[in-house]
Amino acid sequence: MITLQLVLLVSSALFCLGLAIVLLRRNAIIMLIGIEVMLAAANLNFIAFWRYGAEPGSLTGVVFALFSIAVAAAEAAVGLALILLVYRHFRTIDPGRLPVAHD
Amino acid sequence: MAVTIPSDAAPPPGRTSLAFPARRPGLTLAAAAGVLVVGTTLLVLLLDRKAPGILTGAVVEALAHPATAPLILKAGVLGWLAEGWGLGEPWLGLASISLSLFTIVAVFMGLFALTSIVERKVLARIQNRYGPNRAGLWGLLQPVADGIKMLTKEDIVPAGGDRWMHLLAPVMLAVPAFLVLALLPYGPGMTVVELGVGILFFFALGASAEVAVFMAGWSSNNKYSLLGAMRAIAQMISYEMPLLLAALAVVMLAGTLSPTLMVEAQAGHAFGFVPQWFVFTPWGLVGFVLFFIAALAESNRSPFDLPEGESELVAGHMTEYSGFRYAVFFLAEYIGLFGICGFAVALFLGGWHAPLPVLDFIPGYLWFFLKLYGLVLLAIWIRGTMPRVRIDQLLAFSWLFLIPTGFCVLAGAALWHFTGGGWLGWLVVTPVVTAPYFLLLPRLQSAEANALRTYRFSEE
Amino acid sequence: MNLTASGLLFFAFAVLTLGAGTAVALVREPVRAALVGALCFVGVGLLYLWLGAEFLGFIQWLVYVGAVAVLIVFVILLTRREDAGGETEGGRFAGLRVLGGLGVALALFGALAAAVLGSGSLYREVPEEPMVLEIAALGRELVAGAVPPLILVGVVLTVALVGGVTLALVERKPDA
Repeated sequence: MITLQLVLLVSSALFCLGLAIVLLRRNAIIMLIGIEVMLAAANLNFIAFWRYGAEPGSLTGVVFALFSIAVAAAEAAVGLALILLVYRHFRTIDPGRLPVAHD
Repeated sequence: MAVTIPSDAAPPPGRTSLAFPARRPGLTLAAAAGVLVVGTTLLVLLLDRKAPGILTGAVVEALAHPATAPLILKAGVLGWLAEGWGLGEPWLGLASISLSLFTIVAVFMGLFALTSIVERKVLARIQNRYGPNRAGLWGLLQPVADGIKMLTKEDIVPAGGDRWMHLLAPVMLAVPAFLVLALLPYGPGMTVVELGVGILFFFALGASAEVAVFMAGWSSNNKYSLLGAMRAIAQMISYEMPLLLAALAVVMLAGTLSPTLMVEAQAGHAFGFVPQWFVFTPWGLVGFVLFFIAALAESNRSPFDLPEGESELVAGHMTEYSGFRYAVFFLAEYIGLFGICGFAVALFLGGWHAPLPVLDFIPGYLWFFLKLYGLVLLAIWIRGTMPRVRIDQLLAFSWLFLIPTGFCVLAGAALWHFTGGGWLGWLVVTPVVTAPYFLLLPRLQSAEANALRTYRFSEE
Repeated sequence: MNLTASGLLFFAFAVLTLGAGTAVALVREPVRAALVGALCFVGVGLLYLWLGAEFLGFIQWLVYVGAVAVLIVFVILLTRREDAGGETEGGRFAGLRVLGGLGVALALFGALAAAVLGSGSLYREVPEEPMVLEIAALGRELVAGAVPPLILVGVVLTVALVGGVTLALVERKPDA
């Protein structure tokens, strides 16, 4: 029997994994993957609350997750375009080596 | 000038001879699978006494009712399993699904073999030559010869490539292609996996093909492979949009995401002879053409076969593939074509419905396969007659013409719904869906758009 | 705790997702990391499917695997140069950074897990048989209650698309 707590534990672990990816990696693109992982973990929570919620007929959680996926896609598109621009300008995608990040 | 080969050269370590490469996993695999299937079947039939009676009964009944023959045969086999072998419920369900899957895979493998020879024959005829005609009657055994050749070839992994990814890529392309076949509605009650959101699953599977192509290109450690893969992905993404928009129009009017229900929505005949297929509405006709063009591009068929344009990219992402793995790529492309044509049939061409009421005596699944194969033949015909387009023309064609047309089809479908069809619908919808053809296409066909292009290989 | 087939499936999907996520943090080669990331998104989609949200699971595959992962891989290839190298290993505080990052992530997980486990059973026990999201109901919900956000999301996506293309566009000098 899978309880809500178990699903929430998985999603918290996924969120922390995303955070760890952002903190440990020094490649802006991989960091973006980490952010997407965190978003996916949040969506997992919404769907879990819908599934285990008191009113299964209420679809707010699903609708929210749907919007969240759409916004995440937009975020990825803009983020990657920015990374590309930064790369063209500074020839690196390591945030630690960007001149602006030093002071 | 004769080339002398030193006969006393020692073979490289690990190999006994240069003529017989050490790695031939394809042949071994195929032989093992064949022996396993044939052996198990023989063993089962020999050991079981009740089988002939039950199975003969099923065959006789199936011959009497051709319309539902596959269902009767399946029920017969399941009945035999339940009676003769005493199979219980969870196993019976599993057996039912395996039977359906096995049948579908067998049918489409046969179709694949047939198409590989039909395509070469038809192309040859278009080019005024004979085509393969040596192996067997009319060259019909050519697929067998090709298969043996493919399976006995050496399996090469490029040095410096990613070994596992190189192995995984063709499989990742083939498995989704076969999964699509499980979603097709072959006849009433004959969908293998009845999924409420079937069409969405189809597009999700298409998305995994892009990743597979990228894996193939990247793991080959070859610039042609990588360039070919990048082109293929750019093309697939660009043409997924019109495919999706055309399908969305059908989703809107049929009010469902399930292919089976879409086919059911196209039942019946107007005035007693005009089928109510979506292709016979103005938005459906344009949508079908859109879907089919995008389908050709999605399955890398000519005139959109740039990713493997041999004049510039050797063979694109398949350059470094050989033997068994190349065969799997080849298989996946054809199966993908069948799957996408099957969806075109289900979405626009009425699925299993007969074109005329008097033709209803022909079983639905035969109609489905007839239509499917008609589309495949159309694709072969197009391949034989159209020149390949240029990469910038290819992308411009999708973004500047097909996608706007897709939106017009969507608007046309909405207008069709609100006018309730009929003559008013035709009057209102026809200008909407044909407008892009008159407004947008001339610009793409202009001399400036097709002028000689200077290629830029590097930005720096 | 007795495990049914459905429960085993959940654990398999969870292990796949978390394992792929861990691999993203560990694999050094960016392209491989991105592909493992795609696997992680596939795993999340499978979890959605397990929870009964078929529609969202397939949307997740379509968007994350078909669009986001492919986009990421493309950008990795476009930003790849021998002299730029991969990631700078080391630096003055490399060890400290790794320790700090792991520490923050683990501390957060601890806090979240404590909150989850301490929350008690606010929610109902669900039956074992899967519940399937009704598409028609979802559509009605969207059209009835969420029209302005729907339009807004459309605008956001369009702006993001145009903005992304504008940002990434290389200004070309006219051909000589």
